[in-house]
Amino acid sequence: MKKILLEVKNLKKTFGAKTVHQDISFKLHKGECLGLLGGSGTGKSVILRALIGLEKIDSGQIIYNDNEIQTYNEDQWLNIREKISYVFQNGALFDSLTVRENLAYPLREHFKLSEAEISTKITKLLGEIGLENTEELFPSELSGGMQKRVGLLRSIIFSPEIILFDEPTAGLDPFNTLNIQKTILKMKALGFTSIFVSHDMPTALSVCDRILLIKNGRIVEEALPDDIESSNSNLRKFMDGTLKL
Amino acid sequence: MVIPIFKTSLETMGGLAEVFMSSIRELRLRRPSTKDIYTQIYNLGIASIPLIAITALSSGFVMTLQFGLGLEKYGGKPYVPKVMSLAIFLELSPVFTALMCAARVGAGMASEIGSMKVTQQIDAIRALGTSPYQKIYLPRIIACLISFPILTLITSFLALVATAIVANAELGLPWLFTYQKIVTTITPWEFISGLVKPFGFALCVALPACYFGMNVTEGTKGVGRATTMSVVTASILIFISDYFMTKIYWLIYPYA
Repeated sequence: MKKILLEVKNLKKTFGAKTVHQDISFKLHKGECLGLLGGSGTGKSVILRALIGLEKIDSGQIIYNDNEIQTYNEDQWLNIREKISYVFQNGALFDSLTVRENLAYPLREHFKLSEAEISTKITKLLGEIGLENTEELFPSELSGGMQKRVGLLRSIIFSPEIILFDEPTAGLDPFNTLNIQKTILKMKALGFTSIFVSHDMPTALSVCDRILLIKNGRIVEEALPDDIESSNSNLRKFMDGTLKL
Repeated sequence: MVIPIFKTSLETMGGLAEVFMSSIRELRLRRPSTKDIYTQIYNLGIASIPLIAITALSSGFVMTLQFGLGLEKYGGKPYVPKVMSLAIFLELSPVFTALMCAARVGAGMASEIGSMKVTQQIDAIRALGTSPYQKIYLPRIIACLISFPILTLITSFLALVATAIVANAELGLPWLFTYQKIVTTITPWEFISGLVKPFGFALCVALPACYFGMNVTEGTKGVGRATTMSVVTASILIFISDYFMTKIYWLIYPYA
């Protein structure tokens, strides 16, 4: 049995009068890619944001490496965020900085590397994801897919322990979707642990080891990708578009 | 009507106090980089010089002309340099500089921070294990604290130059007479007063810009509202704090 790296127990979250999560509980094992699926507005991103303290939860526990972290203050969260990285849906690149500066930002903050080392690393990594010669471009000069890939690279460049993917393939064409898929699979092979939030069932089936379905603020189903295709489960119905969430 | 305005004002004051206290706390924990501060000094300070120069020269020209023509009827023309230098150092220069910076710098800061909030760039800074205070707010606040006194000095100098020009050209006062009146009127206390106020005004501009920028909701509409609120709040704070700073100045140095 692999070590439990992150555990969420009875997470509850409300926004004003609206209860987004009533009772969310799950475990994330080391090296695993866990899929969180659900309809639009079911609060999947809220869970991810809560896991790195960008969103405060009303009650429940978030346990990371045997430490309860939901009560941490902002200073303590800064340390957690060096280990749990968040890949934003739109990339969230700094629009006044070039691609090189965007990628150099976490490296300068968390490592003692020379500018030459940073530059070499960035050029190498951009080449690996098919974005050669984009170092001096600004985010506004990149396509949506390229921005997402740079955003993804910026979130993983400092080798976090857990990566939280917030709809990394949303709005992408099949070619770019496949590129992202390949990147995630490559990272999985390198031993990264991750949570994958998406509506994109084919990608979820190809990258996730386990998939959870969220409905009405609760996890209503858990399944392995191989079982979903052949079953009559809610996840199968969600995939076919016959389940309203 | 009155209660919601009162409530909003209290909330704003509380928010500004929180930003101020958090800034001091963060400054002790994480120093912003010198490069970031220099960049902001350029963007907020040096880039404001043309606007400040136009304001200083035009207000200096107009005020000197008004005072000169007004006092001429009573034979008070020779007092124009004295009156103008006091007005410029004690009030016009600090307040005009602050108001112009509230419009240019405050609005720019609020909209920039607000846009970063809307596009999740502030969240990205936090998600990358860094502090938005260290990276975004503090460099701007410190840059304002450094730039405002310097800009005020520039305004004072240019407004006095404008005074000398109009005093000579329109009122017939010799250059040397105007110069001597100015240097004998401005004591070190007046000079200090004129330089202390800009520090307070810098906070009056920077804190609302950060506060309204970081609390933007409702997308681009919210950015517009934050910008407006930042400028309005900064302007009100400048006038209110000016009164209290002047009062304190007079308590310390009552021209006995």
